[in-house]
Amino acid sequence: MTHEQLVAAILAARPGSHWNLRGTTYESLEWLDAPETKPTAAELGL
Amino acid sequence: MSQQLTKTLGMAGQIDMNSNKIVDMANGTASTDAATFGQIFTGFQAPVFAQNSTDFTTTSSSYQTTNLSASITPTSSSHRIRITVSGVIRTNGVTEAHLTVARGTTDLATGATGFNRFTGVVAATNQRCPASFSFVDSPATTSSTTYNVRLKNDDNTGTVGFGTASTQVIILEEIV
Repeated sequence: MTHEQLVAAILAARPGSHWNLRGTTYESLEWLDAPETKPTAAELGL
Repeated sequence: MSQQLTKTLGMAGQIDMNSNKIVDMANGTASTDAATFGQIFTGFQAPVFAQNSTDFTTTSSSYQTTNLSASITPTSSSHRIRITVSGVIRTNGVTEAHLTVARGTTDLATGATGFNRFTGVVAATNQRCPASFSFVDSPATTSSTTYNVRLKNDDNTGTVGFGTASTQVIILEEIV
């Protein structure tokens, strides 16, 4: 999965949320929204 | 036959004709004094170069540290650091990307939109733009100093990126 494909998957799983993505792995996703949970790797298709 | 061809100038400095040099000079202290080599060449280090090809994306409107950073240790607290940054910024949809550089956590841009500002005008589409800038910083230290490239959007909603499958570069140069 490319970076842009992963960005699209995050936007689809948690629209309107705040996060940083520093690569193409689940570990490279930094979740900034405390109330909302970080999507699971399975939700993102990883 | 070796010859001693040294002419004393009446002070510590000497013209050494064997080496064709004026030696043992004291450092100049007034604007009309000659400067010694040690005063002119103050031990600048080679430029620091860092590159990264890993994409970074954020949806935040507060500056977030990208994957691009570099550190330099100035040899004098009076020396300045010339920072050069280049890469590609991206917006996904109608939002603005603001790119800046920070010394530690201190944003070096005086404006709220950083050094580079790119506006996406088409909804739900990746729009890319080359981004580059230079800045001269005065860190006033001889400690290791880290400069990191940061990115944010303008609406706390849009998706903005730096890198976008191309190489990002930061160069740090110590200058007077």
